Amino acid sequence: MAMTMAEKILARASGLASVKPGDVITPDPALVILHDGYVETAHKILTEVGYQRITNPERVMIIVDHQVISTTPRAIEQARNNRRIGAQWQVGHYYDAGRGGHGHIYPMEAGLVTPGMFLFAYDMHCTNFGAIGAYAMRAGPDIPTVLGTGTMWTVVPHTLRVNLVGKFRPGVHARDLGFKLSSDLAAGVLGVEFDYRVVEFAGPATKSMPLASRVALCNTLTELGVINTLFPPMSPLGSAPDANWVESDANAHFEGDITLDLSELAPQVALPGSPEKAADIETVIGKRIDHAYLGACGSSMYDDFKIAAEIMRGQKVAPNVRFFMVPGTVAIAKQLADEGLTQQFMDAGAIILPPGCGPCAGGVGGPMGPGEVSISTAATNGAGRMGAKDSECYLGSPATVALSAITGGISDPRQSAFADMAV
Amino acid sequence: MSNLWRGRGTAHVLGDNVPHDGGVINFRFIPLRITDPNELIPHLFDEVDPTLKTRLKPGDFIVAGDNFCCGKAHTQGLIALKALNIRILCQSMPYRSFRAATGLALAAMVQCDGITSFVRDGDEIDVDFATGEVVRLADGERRTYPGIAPDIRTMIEEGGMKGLLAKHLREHPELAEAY
Repeated sequence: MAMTMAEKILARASGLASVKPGDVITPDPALVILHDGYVETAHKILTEVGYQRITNPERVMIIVDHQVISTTPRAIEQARNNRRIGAQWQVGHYYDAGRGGHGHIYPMEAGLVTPGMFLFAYDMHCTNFGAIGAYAMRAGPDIPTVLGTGTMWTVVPHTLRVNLVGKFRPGVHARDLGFKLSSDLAAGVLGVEFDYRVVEFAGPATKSMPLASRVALCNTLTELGVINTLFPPMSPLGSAPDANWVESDANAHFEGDITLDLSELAPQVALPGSPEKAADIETVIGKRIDHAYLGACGSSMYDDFKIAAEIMRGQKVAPNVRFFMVPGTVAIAKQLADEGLTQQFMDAGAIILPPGCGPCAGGVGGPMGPGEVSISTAATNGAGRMGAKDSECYLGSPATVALSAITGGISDPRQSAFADMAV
Repeated sequence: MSNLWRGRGTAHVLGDNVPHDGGVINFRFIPLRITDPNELIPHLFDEVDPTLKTRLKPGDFIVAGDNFCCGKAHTQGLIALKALNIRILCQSMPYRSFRAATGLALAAMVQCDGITSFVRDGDEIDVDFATGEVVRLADGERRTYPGIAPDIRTMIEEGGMKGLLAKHLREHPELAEAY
């Protein structure tokens, strides 16, 4: 039976020859990831039911990326409890603050998540792993079920194929495409469903898209309610393809099949509220900002900072702006230092935070005050996401954020002297 | 068994696109990760209608339009509704939120097209979640929507996520022993 990439991975993880949308399966994960913010809750639920151990603890990863610097006494207590719980459960992978990095980036960089792999994760932005062709199923509040029983009931989703053709024009980035596609899906103008659908990217433009751009695109669609995003398999470590690398059959059934021409796209911002509130950047140019932030799970890889470095060369952060930069992992932070980018950013007046989520994790580092305006690459931008509830969080591409940080207001990267660079 | 899936109560009718965070429950409880229903119940629907919580009674129904419980699929608001034995009828609900409700053993009938026109705020209604029949008690008018699927009803009857975990533990008693 012809299958999509998602169906192939789910079938294999379930020990079945084939699956189809609507089937209820209990797939066996190669890895289970949860971040520091939910360990205590999961432990409390399991303990109340009577669990002292978890199933397959060697496959479980606890990774600290939300409360990296323990900004409150409660956070210090939580970090201590998390370590105790990790030891009690004997989890196979425990990455404390400063040891790995972001839980949606580090596992790819370290080769712990590989193409074709099926895994469960607590946090919805595990869709990042689709950038290398791995299928991470967001378990959310069901993660205690996965920890306790080793799996959870899962409905096989439909797949929407999005064929990408053409090339981004100078100053346009995959994140701009993510905002625009989210907006068009939410508005129903593409005539396809998105809730609990896998979005599979295909077409010639995927071939030349670097990993950081793939990650940005996977990440930007997530908040909308798609269950997953997938690209054709690739290895960030340069590993050769193996039997686990899968792609959709030529005659697989897609619930929807659309084609987007990247050359038609202009830079976008997401207006405060949610990532699908996309608007052409022209509508907000010059909006004065107080806060800028490059990082979070969708835009914290080396290439993202390289874009910022090109734009910021010889420039200073505007006097009215606090510009936070948050490398995704320890290895990325080291690479930025090795190649002189950290020096350049600090010379410009940017503030480098330790690897992890940064302000996006509820404003636990570098938050916003009442009435302030920010532009960032955060994963989402609901009211209060990065601090004061009446602050305004705009989202943009790494190029838009870096340029806005040095001009002091939301700026169009096509208008900069750096518009011809490849992003 | 039909009694479990049938109930009478007051319908509290909401519009479309009521989010979980900042809609069903006050946003400030989300980052605090508070899950005690006694703390959450006084803040149900704070930002939608501050007076609604004073009218909610155990056994009542939330009747909503499209995309109920949208946005982040957090669970604190659903925990509060479950504690009050308040069940949900809506025109649509994102899958992630429906799944979260099922995990909490909270019944939600989520394909009730046109229900916010049929049921008015404050109506007394009789609902059968298995057959999908909704009756307006004042005039006896009735509509039938898709009921809750048998597999989902079984999960709810068994106590949602905690019920499933307890069953697994009975089958694997070694998980109750510390290393």
